[in-house]
Amino acid sequence: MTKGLNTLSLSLVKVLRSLAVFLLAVSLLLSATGCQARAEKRTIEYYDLFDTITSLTLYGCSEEQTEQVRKELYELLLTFHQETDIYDTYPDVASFKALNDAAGRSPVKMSARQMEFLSFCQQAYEISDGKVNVMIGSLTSLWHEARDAGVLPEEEDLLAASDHVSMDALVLDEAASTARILDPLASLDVGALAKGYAGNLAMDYLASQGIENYLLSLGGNICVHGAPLGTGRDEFVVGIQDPAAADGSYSDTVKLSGGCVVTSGDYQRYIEVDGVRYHHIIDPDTLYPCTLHHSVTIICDDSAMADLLSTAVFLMDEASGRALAEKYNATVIYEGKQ
Amino acid sequence: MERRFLEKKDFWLMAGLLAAAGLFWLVLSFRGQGGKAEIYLDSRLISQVDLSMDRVIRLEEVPEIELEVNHGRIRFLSSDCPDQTCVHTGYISRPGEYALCLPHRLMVRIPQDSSDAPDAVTGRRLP
Repeated sequence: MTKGLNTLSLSLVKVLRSLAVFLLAVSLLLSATGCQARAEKRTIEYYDLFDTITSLTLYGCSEEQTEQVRKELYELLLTFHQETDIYDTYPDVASFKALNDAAGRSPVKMSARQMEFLSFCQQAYEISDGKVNVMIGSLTSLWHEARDAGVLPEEEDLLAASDHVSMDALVLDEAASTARILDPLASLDVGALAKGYAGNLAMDYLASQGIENYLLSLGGNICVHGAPLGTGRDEFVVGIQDPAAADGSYSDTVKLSGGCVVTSGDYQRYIEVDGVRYHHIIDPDTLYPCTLHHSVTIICDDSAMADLLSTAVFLMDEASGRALAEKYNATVIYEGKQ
Repeated sequence: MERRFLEKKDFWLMAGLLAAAGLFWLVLSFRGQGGKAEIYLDSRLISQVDLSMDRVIRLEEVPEIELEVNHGRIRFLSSDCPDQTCVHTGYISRPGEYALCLPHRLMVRIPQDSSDAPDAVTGRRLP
């Protein structure tokens, strides 16, 4: 009887001891996997700017500051979106559609920011040796219609449009803060440059707010600053979209603690006709989508420059592209070489 | 009778339990990565979809869209949006991949927990 009780108490001790060991094991495991100290990470997303998703992740920002940024950055980017919109007009903002609609007729009053941006567009033309030309609206609108309809544009229409793509037709009057398109058949298409320029506006704003650690994605144009606090890394890791796979798959990664990564690819917007893919990056010299590369990525400090260079380098052979990137201290990566 | 609190066999027990717990965690995280999709509406998580059962899903919040789960993959089967970019994206299945319907502000994403995944990926498809 006494012996039986003894055995019982002994086994009870054993069970308790095992339980203690088990709890220790579980807590060790939890602390090793799930519960490391984390700086707060907050993400803001906008769906109605530049026909794409804009997302901003802030590391180590308070909820109040994040809310303030959400409102102020939206105001800033929405205004720029409307100012550079070529599809819509707005009651309070003279958009580029208004400027296009007035082509051949009259100058249009522009904001200081629009004047700066248009002046940058003129520089982009020089820098890219005419490859990045915002005056090819007459040409790109034909390709835009073609993508919607699923049929190729007529060769003769493309040739006719190519007579109305001169950069000289865009005239800026800095003193009066007006822009004018001289050729009634010419029009602006700033798709190659607007998102990149918006990236600079956003980065300047975030700097003015003293925000040190963030990752901004303007439809896949990535701009980072500082570090992803709480991950244990002191650099951001940016994947480069795999040209042959679904969105979010990457074929390469780059690490950086400041700067922008922009990819131009033939997989982003396209139509397929008779098994041939016609994408959205039109070479102003051939009037057709450029087939030299599948995907070109530019890494550099400045968002507008990265956007400009990614399109320019996409439209050049590799030697010229690498030389141009080097001239502006940018790194270029080719993916899915053909 | 003098006894130390922890004996040799206790250490064996501890090691065994740790190994079992580790295995359990591995199985859980493996299943969590491969078999799930997250649905976001306006960047809010509205639903998690188990990808182990083939079916067509219609969301209460966005009845205009049909999602199809097939062999651990998911895609936009149909949508009434004008550009149809979401449908053209096709199936997604790997961690980090996503498909998006901009007009309906609906995103389907395969979650990734692994710490070596990138913070962002460049160059998304555009409508």
